[in-house]
Amino acid sequence: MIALDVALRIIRRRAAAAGVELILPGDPRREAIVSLVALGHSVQRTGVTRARVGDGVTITLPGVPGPAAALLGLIPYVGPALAALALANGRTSVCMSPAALASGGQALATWWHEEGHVGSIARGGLLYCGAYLLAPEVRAGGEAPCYGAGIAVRVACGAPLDSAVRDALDSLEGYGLDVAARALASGIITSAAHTIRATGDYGGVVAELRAELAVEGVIA
Amino acid sequence: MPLLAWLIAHPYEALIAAGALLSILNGALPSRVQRGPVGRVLHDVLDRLAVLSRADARGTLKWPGVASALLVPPSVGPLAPPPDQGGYVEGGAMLGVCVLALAASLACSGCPCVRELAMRAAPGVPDPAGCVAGVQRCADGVPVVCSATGREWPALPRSASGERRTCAPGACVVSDGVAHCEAP
Repeated sequence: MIALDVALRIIRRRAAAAGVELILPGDPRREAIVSLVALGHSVQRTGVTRARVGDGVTITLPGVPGPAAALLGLIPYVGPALAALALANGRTSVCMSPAALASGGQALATWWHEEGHVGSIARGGLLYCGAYLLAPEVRAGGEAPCYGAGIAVRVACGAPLDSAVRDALDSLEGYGLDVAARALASGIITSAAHTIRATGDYGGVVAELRAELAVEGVIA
Repeated sequence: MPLLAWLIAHPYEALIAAGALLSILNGALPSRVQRGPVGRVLHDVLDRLAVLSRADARGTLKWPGVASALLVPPSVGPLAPPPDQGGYVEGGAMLGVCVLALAASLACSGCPCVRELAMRAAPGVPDPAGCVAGVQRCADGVPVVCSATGREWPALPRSASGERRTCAPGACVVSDGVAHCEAP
């Protein structure tokens, strides 16, 4: 059992090392993000309510250069907060949900999931984010490995692999994937489950987790 | 006195008659009446109360010449605001917004060509490799899964710095059609 304050210290340390702006529940900027994401779900009629977004959705947003941030500021109601967020030195932001902080293990699983997105944004920038919004295949190919990272952390924290895999597949249903994209995501999750079962790690994610827990004195 | 008695006895009719007289008077006045000090008062009060507008006022409803009011357009068109005033939009910017809106609507309506264009333009999205959808294999020590568009998507995430994670120090293997990492 990992305490939440230990998990938050690890998350803050890794966020600082990655140059990421960490936004926790209660921050007014999160309200703006929640409003925007809920609006998107409403327009697409996904059935995801604002309450569910507010409680359960953790999101990683790219840093935005000045002129684009000014455009964000034109969005009614949530614009100023989004512009302030985007102008946070143009850095990528990770906005954690209350559900993600339900326990230390959940917080760490969520963080390593988001680190995958931070890496994708570092590699692909705003063009990648645009493709993510437009193409279900990019959402599947981008999200599934990140869910794999979350599965690896949850399993390392004691969760059963099958249960973690099932939860990940359920969560992937909320990304507006078509049949082909769902098949891609399922294939990646299957590969991830095999990797975690065979190695106890997932491309070094668990090794990083153990190193961080050792720094905190949780494990030797 | 008979007139006063009639007015008191018929208040509504008296008001209608007064309105008609006022309208006739206003209709007989030229528009330039508002330039003088007395005319300004007439303009502010009389013109607002009268049913008829001035005979030489354009673009207003005239009776009985209703058709001319509808057919004769105002002589001065709408003025564009100066560039430094709120609401000013350059034609090029408006065209850009329209093009973006069109692209977004095409994409949202499921236009495959827009999706493909977005994927080809995005760094980090694999190029089409001509693989068969659903097939898994190892590529440079990373398990990959083929998508419906023939792209090989890695089954490992990136690190926070953007580097692709690999199976190292283990190795990538394919067993029962599933590509995955094995311990060293």
